[in-house]
Amino acid sequence: MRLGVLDVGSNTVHLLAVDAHRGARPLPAHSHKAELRLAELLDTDGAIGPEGVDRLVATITDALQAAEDKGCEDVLSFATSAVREATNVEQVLGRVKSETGVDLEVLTGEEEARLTFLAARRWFGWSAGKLLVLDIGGGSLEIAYGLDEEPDAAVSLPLGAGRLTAAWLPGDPPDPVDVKALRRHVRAQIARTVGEFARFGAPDHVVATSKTFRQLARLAGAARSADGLYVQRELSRTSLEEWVPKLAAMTAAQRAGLPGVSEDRSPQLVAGALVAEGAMDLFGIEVVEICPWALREGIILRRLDQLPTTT
Amino acid sequence: MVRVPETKVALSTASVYPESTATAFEIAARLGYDGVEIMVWTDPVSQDIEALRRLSDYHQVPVLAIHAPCLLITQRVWSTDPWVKLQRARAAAERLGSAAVVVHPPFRWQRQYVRDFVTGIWRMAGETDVRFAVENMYPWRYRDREMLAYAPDWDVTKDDYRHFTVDLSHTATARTDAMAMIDRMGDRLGHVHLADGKGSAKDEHLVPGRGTQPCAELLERLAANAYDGHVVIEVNTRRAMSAAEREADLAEALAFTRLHLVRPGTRPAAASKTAASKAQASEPASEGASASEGAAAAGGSSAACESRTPGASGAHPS
Repeated sequence: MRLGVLDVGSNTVHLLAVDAHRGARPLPAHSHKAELRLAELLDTDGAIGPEGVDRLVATITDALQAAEDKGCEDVLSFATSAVREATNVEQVLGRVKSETGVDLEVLTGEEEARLTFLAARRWFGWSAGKLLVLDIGGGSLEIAYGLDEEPDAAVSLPLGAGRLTAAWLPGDPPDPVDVKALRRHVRAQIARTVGEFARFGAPDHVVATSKTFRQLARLAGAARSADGLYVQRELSRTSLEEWVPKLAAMTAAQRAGLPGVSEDRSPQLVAGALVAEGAMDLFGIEVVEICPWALREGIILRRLDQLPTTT
Repeated sequence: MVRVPETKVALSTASVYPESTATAFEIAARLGYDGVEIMVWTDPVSQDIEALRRLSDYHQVPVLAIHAPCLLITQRVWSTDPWVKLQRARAAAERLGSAAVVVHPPFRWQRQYVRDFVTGIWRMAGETDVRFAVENMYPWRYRDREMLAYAPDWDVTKDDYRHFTVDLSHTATARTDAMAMIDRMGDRLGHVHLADGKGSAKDEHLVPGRGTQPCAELLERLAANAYDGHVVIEVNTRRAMSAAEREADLAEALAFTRLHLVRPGTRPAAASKTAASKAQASEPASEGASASEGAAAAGGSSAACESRTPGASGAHPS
């Protein structure tokens, strides 16, 4: 059967159609996406305004139509940080339900981190040993560590690139004073959680997922996305440290001209780079390996695991 | 001569969000609340009756009420079946010795639940001493539109329930007359969520005294009418910039409540001093707030309680 997965992320609303059977790879037969950047649409009270909810409802309606067109029998719908942290989350979910019929499941930050970890584990396999997984979304930063498929520790911090850009970096290019203040905020938040992971000892591999990390790796010389999923890509701390001041001095339009940086995401890249740099520095990471799978694949994998075996 | 109010004042665990349920017990104990109301939601501790019992024992803070997981964000908490959620809430209340289970009216699209709701709540209430106190909600508004999300009605006094919860942030959002609603509830008012609001479309849950709702008047009415339920502080502190700021808000809410939870005309110096000393004892974090509460208590004037403005918690980083 064909399963639809509707992911209302903090940047993107994404519908994947997956041919689901137990043991299948979590790769879509079809993918439909729209950039909404909900995390940037929060008002001063932290609520998603009526226009934002209108756009969300319209986008979900389109995605459901796409799911039907592609023959999906069932659609799993879930939402992450931007919806979860909105002060009007009840109204957002209620309007989505009453206007589209979709029951959006709101993942907790810890679930997000756990499912992303599962995807990274399946991607790299058991031979990778102890994994530390970092994911910079639009609304939150997820960190998870473990030896198994279930991580031993998983946390989520409200340090997503979209959220931070909207709240801290209004200028274009950003004011150096704002960049400095954001850097301090990011590092203080990450430093508070480093202790929770320190007791586990050094990971064998550090894995980074998310578009933010993929773009930063591409800037630092990793292969283009056109070269496919199976090329090894990595990002070293030294090359990231060279890029952060350069990115901070550029306008969003200039950043959009860089290799691998999309116009939609170029405004968020400075905040994303500050989070990546802060995390790598505070966790003492020299290099991260890029994993193309993340939360969505984790959700699909978990769902596929629950399907009956076909014999 | 001086009537010491017997009504207990509890802290909703939702009032400390994004801090955890466990933190709410700790803060309630430190500030001198009489107990907590558990908001059962995504925090796993809030769903775990044994964990709650241990927290209650450890902090010596009773669980005075359970808020059933009937928010959209808690659709999958405990069960997806709304009646099973209520049965589990009742079991939690019985196990933890809580007086009340707070229930929201169903969402309009939960059609079968809507149809069975009034009779079902009566049936459940008949099987236990725990009160199922159905809470007033509000119509959802955006731009010029209004959406009726709840059924049979957001105004629960239009239907027949054994017990009601009144919530003064929801009356503000509904732009309805809170005192008139309390009159309609009469002696079926079994539980109170104290918060304030200014009538915006957002359900604000301000610290009592910072909005336009008749918080002080409600408390005086409760004291005068020998109200036998609890008063629960359910305020929003998610914009607090620090733990100290959050605690100052929660201490102020408690001081305000104790100050006004007396019959009108019977607030002698002794009762006021109790409130003032509690305010000061429980408020190490905020000199300004405790001084103003002290002044309010000494003067016996409710007007003086409007001293702190919410502007202080503006969140844009500098």
